[in-house]
This record gives sequence, C-alpha cells and structure tokens, in this order.
Amino acid sequence: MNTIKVENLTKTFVSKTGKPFRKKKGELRAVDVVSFTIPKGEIFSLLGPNGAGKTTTIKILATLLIPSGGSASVMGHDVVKQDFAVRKVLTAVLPGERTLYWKLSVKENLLYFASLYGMSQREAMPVIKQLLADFELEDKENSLVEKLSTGQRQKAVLCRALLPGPEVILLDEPTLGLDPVSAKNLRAIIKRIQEKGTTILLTTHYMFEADELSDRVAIIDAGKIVCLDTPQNLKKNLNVKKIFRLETNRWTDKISESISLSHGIQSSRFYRKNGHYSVELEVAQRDLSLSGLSTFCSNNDISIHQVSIDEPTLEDVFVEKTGKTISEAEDTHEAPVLA
Amino acid sequence: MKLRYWLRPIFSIALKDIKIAIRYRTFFVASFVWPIIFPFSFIFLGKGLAGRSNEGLAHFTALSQTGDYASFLIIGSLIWMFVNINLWMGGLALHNDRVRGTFDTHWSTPVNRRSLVLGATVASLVLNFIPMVTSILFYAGAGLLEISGNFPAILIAVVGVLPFLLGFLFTFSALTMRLRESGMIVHIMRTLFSIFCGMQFPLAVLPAFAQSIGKYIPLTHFVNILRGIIIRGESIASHGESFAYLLVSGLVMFAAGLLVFDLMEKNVRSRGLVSGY
Repeated sequence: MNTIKVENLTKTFVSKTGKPFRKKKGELRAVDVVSFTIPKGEIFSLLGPNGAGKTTTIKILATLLIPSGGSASVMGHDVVKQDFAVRKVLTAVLPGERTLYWKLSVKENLLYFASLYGMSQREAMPVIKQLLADFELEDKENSLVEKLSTGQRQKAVLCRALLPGPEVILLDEPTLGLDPVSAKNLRAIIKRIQEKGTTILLTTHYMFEADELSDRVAIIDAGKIVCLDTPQNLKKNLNVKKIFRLETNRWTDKISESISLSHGIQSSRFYRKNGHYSVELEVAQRDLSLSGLSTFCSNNDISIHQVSIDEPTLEDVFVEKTGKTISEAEDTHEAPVLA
Repeated sequence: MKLRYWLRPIFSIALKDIKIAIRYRTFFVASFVWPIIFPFSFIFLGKGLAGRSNEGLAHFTALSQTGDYASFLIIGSLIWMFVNINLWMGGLALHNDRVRGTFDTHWSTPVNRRSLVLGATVASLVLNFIPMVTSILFYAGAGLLEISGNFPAILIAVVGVLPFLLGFLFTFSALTMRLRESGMIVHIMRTLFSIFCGMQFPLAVLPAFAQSIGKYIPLTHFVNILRGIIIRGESIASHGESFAYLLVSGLVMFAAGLLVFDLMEKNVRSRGLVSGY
C-alpha cells in the first residue's frame, strides 16, 4: 500500500489584484492536476521554484487546506473526509524558525506539543529523553528556545515532529535559512529518520539537496509536475552532455576519431601542455561511462594522469523540462493576495 | 473524539500561555498596577458628578437604587475587564499564533481546534484573576468597595454568564480566522455592550429605545445581578427571571458560536487563509 496517494489534485485560490478599491478578483491555480504516490519509507521530494505549488500540496496533505479537486490520502485516510485520522499519523515541519515557543524551554515545548498529539507527560517523557539524546540536545533540555542557535532550533523542531512516532513527515524547506554546516547536519538527520522506516515528503528549491536526499524527485512548476523519477534517471535521460576532462601521456586526432566512432563522442578537443595532453570529450548522458573510458585508454596504451567529469545536475533537468532556470521561474511567480 | 485530543490540550495550552506570560516582566505591571489605576478615572468622574457635598448623589441613588457610586463603578469596571478578556482572548490567541508562526503547527496536530481557543481563554481567565483580586482587595482595603454579597452567589452568577461569553468568544475567533484581524470589531462590540448594558452608568439614563435594546442583551442581566448581589446583598433567587434569561440566551449564543466557528474553520481551509495574517 502506498503511504501517500495523490490523484489529480487541484487547488484554485481566489485572489485580488490591482490598486486598493479597484481590486479585481481573479483565480490562481496553485496546484494543477497533480498525481503521485509515495511508498512506505521513501524520501520523495517536490522540487521547484518559489510559488510552484509545493507548499500548497504539502498543506493539503497536512489538512491545512481543502483541495478544489482531485483527492489525496495518507495511510488510506482521505485528507478531507478523514482529516482527524490523517493528523494522527502525520507531522509537518513548516518553514520558519518560529514554529516553537521561544519563551519555553526545549523540554517544555516538546511536552506541550506531545499533549496536542494526545500524549500524557508519562508517555512523552521517555520519548523526549531519547530524541534529545539522538539529536545531541540533552544539555539544552532546559534552555529556552530563544537561547538556541538556528541549527539547534531546527533540530528541536525535528524532535517535535518525531515525538508522536509519525508514519509520515512533511518537511517544507527544512534547511531554509540554515548555515551550510547546520544544513549538512540536518540532511544527515533526515536520512537517519528515513532509516527508521518513516516516509518523508520533502519540498525544496535547492537542487543539490533534492539530489542528495531523495529516492525520487518530482519537479513542479506552475502547479504542474513536469517530470518524476529517481534523480539518476532524470539526469540520465537528459539531452545535456556529460563532459570528461582528462590529462594523458598521449592523444592524437586518430584517437579522437576512434573513440568518437566506438563510444559516440559528440565533440572532442585536445592540446599539449607541459609534456602531457589535456583532453575534453563531450558525450550524451547514456553513452560512455568512466569504466568504458578507462578500458578504451588502456587498450590504446594511453595513461590517464587525471580525470574529472562534469555531470549534469537537477538544475539542468529543470532547465530542459521547463525552458527556464529556477531563478527565472521564481521571478514569474508572484504571491497572490487571497480573498 | 477522545478526551486526550480536546480536554488535555485545553489545560496544556493554558499552562503554556501562563508560563509564557509570567516570563515577561510586564506581567507584574498588568497584575498589580493596571487593576489599581484603571477604575480610578471612573471613581473621580463619579465624584465630579456627585458634587463637593454629594448634592448630585440623590439623583444617582434614584436612578441606580444605590448611593454607593464607588462600588457601582468599580463593579462595572471589573465586569468590563472580565468581558473584555473573554471576548478578545480566543481570537487574540489565534492571531498571536499566526504572527508567531506557530499557527500551522497547531492546526496540523490532531487537537480539536475549539480546544485551541478554549485553552487560551482558560489561561486568560487564570491570568486575569490576579488583577481582578488585586483590584477588589485594593478598593475594599481603601474603603471604596463594600462587598456585602456572598461569594457562592457571585460564583453562580459568573458561571451563568459563561455560556454567553463563550458563544461570543467562538464567534470572534471565527471572525479573526476569516478576517485575520478583528480588533476593531471587538472594540466596537465592547463599547456597545458598555453602553447598552450600563456598565459605568445607571441604565435609566439611556433613551427609552436604548433601554429596551439593553434588556435583550444577556450581559445587562449579568451586570444587574452582580450589582444586586455585591452592593445590595440580594440573593440569586431574587433575580430568578434574569438569571434564567441569562442562562438560556447564553446557551443559544454558545451553540451559535460553535456552529459559526466550525463553518468558518472549513471556510478558511478552503480559501487558504489558515496561516495568513
């Protein structure tokens, strides 16, 4: 059974545009017939620019929004008709570092939110102790949240999300605003959460983050899913070329011709510098692997001193599928004023 | 819905709000300074109207059935404070959570959403019990407030008004959800209540049409009952009809408030206004 099932999900907002007293009502389709399923234990990322519909989708799943059309279910519970059942099996980490009370200590916050999940203090305390140990926050148990660093706060937020032992965690831009070290630590924590069998739906507009964390990625733009697959498959099927850069002991035009014929090299350049050859080979994603290149070189008595590969990123996937970069896409989306 | 999803959260929300409130130093000003200075303006107004040798008091006594204008005004002010708290706190709590960024987090938990409003109100009642007691003790100690009624009767009257106030609480909370800001509506409503219910003056000074409107507002009956008990030492039984009206109309208001709140909750989830402010 799929943990999350989304079918033809649509959300249209009524928005107001124009000057005060001359505002006109309009419709904004934030989510446009979106479908996907997420099996248990998977990290699934919704990747896209701001305003693409990621947060709206997450909010529908978290029962904070009622969809205009289609359906969505979590662990078989419909998010509209069985919203209470959904909220019992799911927790959401929404953007912003103020999702905890800053005037309460970490422990007080966790005990408070545990009670909102129906947990008594006796039930919650052992879980809190374990989570604080797992997240290396034991010494911060009695510290007010306002005195924690941003990274520690984000860890405390994740502790809160894990408190009721949810089947599903929705993480909306979890590393937004974190410094690179804290963001890296947080990504490691997210992987650890997945190892315990929790299903994670993540939204991010950081391409590398989706690439590093996700089992599958759905790229979403203007409310529509433009592609959905594993990060590897998405990159493999690109028209964008892979570039090998080598330093070898020898290279000739004849070798370039030979490798082009045998391995589908689309263009090659080489020049001699300081007694060795610098070679650049452009090839389609599915043609020529590093091991293929290595075999070719050894068969032709070529020693490779150094090799590097410029692999395409999910940014390239986004550009190819939408015809624009993620920052260009963000410029075209404006936050609506809801009526 | 199981108790653990609505009753327990009411107490934990209240406890959380109380803890947060007392961690700000201004809490002590709100508890021990404001309740003492707030009724003074009304007392001096009364003194001014009574005249240097209380020559105006006879008119006041004729209109209000008491010559104890200080007690009359202090009780009116306390009721005004109490009503304010109850009308305002539920909606304010929702508004505060929106501004803080904790609103979505609450609404994605399985807690009953009515409990979010009630928990904040319980905290507010507890926190505002302190200034009320401060005010009563100060003015009783200063000889300006004479409490001759019995406390169980006062308690029964207060319990009697709660359904009405809770009904309003849910209605204003619903408005805050939908409009994202209902401060001005609260200001207007409490001023209207203050006028039509005669909180700071005898109802008899109102024009006839305003007096007849006031009679239909349950809060007017509450003000009269409380003044009767505290100033004139009357029993609840002597206000039987008023108390019955207060209770029945309050229960109707309570049911209507819950209905409006539930409908508005669906409305804002549909419109995408849950976390906007």
